Amino acid sequence: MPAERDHVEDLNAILDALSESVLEESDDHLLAEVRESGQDPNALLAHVKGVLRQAVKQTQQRPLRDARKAYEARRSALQQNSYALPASADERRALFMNVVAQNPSVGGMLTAHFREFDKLEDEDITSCLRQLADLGLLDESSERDGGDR
Amino acid sequence: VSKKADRRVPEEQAATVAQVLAAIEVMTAGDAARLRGFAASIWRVRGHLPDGRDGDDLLSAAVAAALTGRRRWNPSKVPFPTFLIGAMRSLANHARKARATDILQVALSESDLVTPEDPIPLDNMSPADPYALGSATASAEERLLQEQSQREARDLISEFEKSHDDDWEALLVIEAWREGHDGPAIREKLGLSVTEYETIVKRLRRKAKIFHNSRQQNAS
Repeated sequence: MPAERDHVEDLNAILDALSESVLEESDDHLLAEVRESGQDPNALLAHVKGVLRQAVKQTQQRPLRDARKAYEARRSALQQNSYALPASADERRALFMNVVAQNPSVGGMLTAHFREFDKLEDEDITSCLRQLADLGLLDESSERDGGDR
Repeated sequence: VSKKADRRVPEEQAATVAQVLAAIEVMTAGDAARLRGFAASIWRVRGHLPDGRDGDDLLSAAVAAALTGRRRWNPSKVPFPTFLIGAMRSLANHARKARATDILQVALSESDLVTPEDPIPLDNMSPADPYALGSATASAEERLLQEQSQREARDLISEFEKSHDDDWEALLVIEAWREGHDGPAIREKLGLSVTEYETIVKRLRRKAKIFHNSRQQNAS
């Protein structure tokens, strides 16, 4: 009984032969084929150069894209965490000042970053509270106060 | 030190981004036709197997492999188009083995695309490579995928051969390719001159392009 054909290998052999045959052709023959297929060789050259330039650009920007993706993932994870932050801006500010007062090291870090706490916008305070919650500092603060968050 | 490591282009000899960009600028229309023709032929007309739009993604992946050091280009030894052809050949072979569909991921995967001389330099895939094949013992899922690939490849070949029903010379050449013969062996076997063989292959390339375009149109 003849051995069963490996059709995948057969297909690969056909594709390889077709592609390798391109390498054996002279430039003139290849350009004639391009014209025969209705393409302009100069347009093809511009297209290939464009694809290659774009590939260079995308590869160079890859670390930036990866960093952005990681940042987005972190931000999304932060946003997905549910925090029982106070409902009003004043209460959030009060909680924030309380946490800072109870954690001088955190206060020092935040001072370096924001300079003056009383000029912080609610958006910054909310963001800080979320990060402090992630660090478990809001729980500690609540426990010290004997309250619930 | 492995033989593979010995053959790797030393980092200090690898092309810089500026050298790659300069090489792109001096490319000729003949280079472009050859690169595109090669990329499109090796990478298209596939079913469940690694697929590509029209070879552009394979070209891009070859550049990515060069710039990330997965496969280094030594500009003082190898012309840029030759390097790209070698990188594309390796990537396509690697993707076939790993049944990967994202050729850029293959270019950036753990395995090194190391040697310009080696037609299949990715035989030693790292077990850490997510694109590497699993163990030699195929799981039930793996066997199903293999069977599906076999069916799809068989159907593709059958369709491709049908598109040459009126060209028995082309059908003989396809059959000889399937049997693993190269150009000189086929010419000798079929008693063809170099020109006759090249003319048949040209017809096959032209029909392959039409075949691919028609499949794409049917798919969309």
